[in-house]
Amino acid sequence: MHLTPSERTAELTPSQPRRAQVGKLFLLLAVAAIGAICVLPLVIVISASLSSERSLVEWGYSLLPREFSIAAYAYLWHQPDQLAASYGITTFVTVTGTLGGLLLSSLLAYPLARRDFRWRRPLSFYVFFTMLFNGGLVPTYIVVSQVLHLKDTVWALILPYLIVPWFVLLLRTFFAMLPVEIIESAQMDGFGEYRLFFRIVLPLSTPVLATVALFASLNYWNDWFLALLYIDDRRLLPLQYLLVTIIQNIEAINMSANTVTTAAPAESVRMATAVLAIGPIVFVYSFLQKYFVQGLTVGAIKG
Amino acid sequence: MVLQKRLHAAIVCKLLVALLLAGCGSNGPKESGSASPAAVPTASEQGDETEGSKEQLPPVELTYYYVGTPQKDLPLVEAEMNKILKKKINATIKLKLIDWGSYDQKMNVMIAAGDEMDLMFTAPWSNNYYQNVEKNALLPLDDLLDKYAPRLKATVPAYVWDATRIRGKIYGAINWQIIAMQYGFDMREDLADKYGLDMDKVNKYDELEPFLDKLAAGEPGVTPLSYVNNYDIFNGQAPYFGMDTIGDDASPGWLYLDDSETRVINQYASPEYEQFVRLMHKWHEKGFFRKDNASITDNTADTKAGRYGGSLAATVAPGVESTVFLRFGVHKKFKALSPALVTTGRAIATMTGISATSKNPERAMMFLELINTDKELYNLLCHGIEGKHYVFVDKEKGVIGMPEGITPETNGYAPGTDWMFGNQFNGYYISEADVGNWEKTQQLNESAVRSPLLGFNFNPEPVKAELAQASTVIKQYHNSLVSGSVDPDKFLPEFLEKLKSAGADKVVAEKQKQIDAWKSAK
Repeated sequence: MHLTPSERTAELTPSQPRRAQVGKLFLLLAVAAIGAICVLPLVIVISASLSSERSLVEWGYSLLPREFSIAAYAYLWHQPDQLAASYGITTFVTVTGTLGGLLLSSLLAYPLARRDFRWRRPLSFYVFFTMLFNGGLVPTYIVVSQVLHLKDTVWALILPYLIVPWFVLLLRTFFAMLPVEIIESAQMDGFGEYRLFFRIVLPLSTPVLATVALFASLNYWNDWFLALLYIDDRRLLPLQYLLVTIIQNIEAINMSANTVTTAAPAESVRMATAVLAIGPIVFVYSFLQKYFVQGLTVGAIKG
Repeated sequence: MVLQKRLHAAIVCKLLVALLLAGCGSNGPKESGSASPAAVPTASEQGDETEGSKEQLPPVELTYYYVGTPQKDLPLVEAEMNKILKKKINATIKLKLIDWGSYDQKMNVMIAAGDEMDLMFTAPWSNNYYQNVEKNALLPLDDLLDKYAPRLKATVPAYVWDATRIRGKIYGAINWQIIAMQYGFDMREDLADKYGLDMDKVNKYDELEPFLDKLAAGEPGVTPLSYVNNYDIFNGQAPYFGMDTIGDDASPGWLYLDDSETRVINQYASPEYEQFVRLMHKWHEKGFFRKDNASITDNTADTKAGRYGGSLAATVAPGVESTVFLRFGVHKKFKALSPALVTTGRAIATMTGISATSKNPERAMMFLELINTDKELYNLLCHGIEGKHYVFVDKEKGVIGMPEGITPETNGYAPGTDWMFGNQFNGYYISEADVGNWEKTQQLNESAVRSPLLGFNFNPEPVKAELAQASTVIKQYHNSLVSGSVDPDKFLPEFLEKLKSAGADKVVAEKQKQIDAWKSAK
């Protein structure tokens, strides 16, 4: 006799099937509903970005474009080199910043996790202190622009976020949870500190590294404030800041319309920028997501 | 309140843009070459290095921070400008064009950090002029103007310069343009014609009622009057009521323009206010407004879609019709119901300041003289390079247009902010229809009523707490009252009572005190 898997189950547990299936169906519906709540806004945004401005004004947003138009993307595309340059800058900043930040943060966090490190407390305090107190905007600006002379360089977009105290503490907590025995036995096997760190500690810490990498890359990808402060050279504008200024400038233009500039498709462009801004980072999210939950809870237990 | 301010700024901005269409008229562009080396201080006063010929000036670079939308060909325009500047004042300029959304914050940080710069756009509504003066970010310009920019100084009337003064000193160079504002109403042209509205016969809002009745009855899909709760149709048009505002428009304490004793009164307790809110309530009952008008924050989409007939408290200036058409795609007629009024805010709505961190303030002032008197230089900054960014449609009248094959989207240089760079009346017209607007504007400026408070700036600090409390009460009651959605019989007395206990009288008294002190100091 040939049975489908569900029939087979039904045969094995005759009293359970109906209730189990109803429960399962209910669960599926609930999950589907939550999924829809998450996905629908995205669909609406994409649909709006592909609608004509007039149809948005006339009928508002809808799940499918009422009047299909790529005017918004064409508007964003009218400076293709700028857009490409900005994508390039953002990608470079995100990759460099995330890798560099990960390396430096874990190099800082690891000694803080080692109980045999003499300056553990003062150094921890030094890191922790900056979470609560900082010099404020203007002194930071002075340091970056007048002391380090980083204005209008790509480093002004990377260095300020290279070490985030919260990430350091997250890493430290995870490192501290690694069994001391592993470290001791490695030392007995003749591992030096660097070899121990790169060959033993880091490979064991992939969950927390993935978590921090995700946070850090989102941090870099989404940032436009550093660009606002430090970048005047348009060739160095990161994507998010470019998109922010495009939207703000459309608003300013529409407020003060004159004969030189025709009214820009404000609504649909806003949505199109959102689509562009989500860009590749959304894939990073799904790629790192499986580590994410584990890493975060691990960090939180002892936090 | 910030939003209100912004909107206000935006409206001023819009009008200024309308005005920039004005350009030059009477003189014609032919004189452009004649911008004389008066720019270079041959100087009434003897002195330093300026005494010699311009070749002896050491070369300098000036940085100029201003706000706008990014322009692809900015470096080309900058290079062209530098050719002129090099020849005339042996300087080059670095144009630092900052995006609209970033300008305030960026300038704020840069000023606080003491970054070196020479020139900056400043106004009460953008890169705040008063705060910059308080922070000592701007240089006093009085001596520099006399010495290096005599023609700029002479072009702008003395009473306008006086409006910039803080503790007796000028800190911003005026970009000369429209300074007189008028308020009135607008109505869709097709509807006005269909229902027989004779704009010329209307002098008060009340007189619109018969027309609005017909409109409401005849066009079920159209709301006769638009309304947004972030544009205050009472406080936004003080001149219509024969008054001027002091400090923040909505704060209690206005002044009758014809009051020779400059007595400050609480505008919400005035008969004008009561009449106005009663009229609005009546109109709301009649369905001239949307029922939910008090909660509408944005009418752009509905205006574009033609769901509104017209609006009240519209700002009216030469050329406003074409501006509004471009923004909303709707042809509207405008009628000014208020006298044109020059106030401090209007007079100093756009200025260029010289930074206190500038190493070359003299040369910066020479640049200001040039940009305000040299038509070639000014129009270069406003419209770009002839043949590339614009062509002459009518050189005689100074009308320009897009070069063939260039659209607004593909034009590499069209900042559209002539009102930010210098004497707007030196600019070209960008549409045939605008020819002559410059004279009209000039007449408007001259004939306008000058507020008795021109040059006075209210310092809100001593009554900050009262202002905040009053503002809460005003938001709570005034918006509903002025939208017409609540009954003034019931709510007006309640409003005034609450306003009184919030300390409105103290605010009025403080305003009076400062005005008296200002008057006696004059």
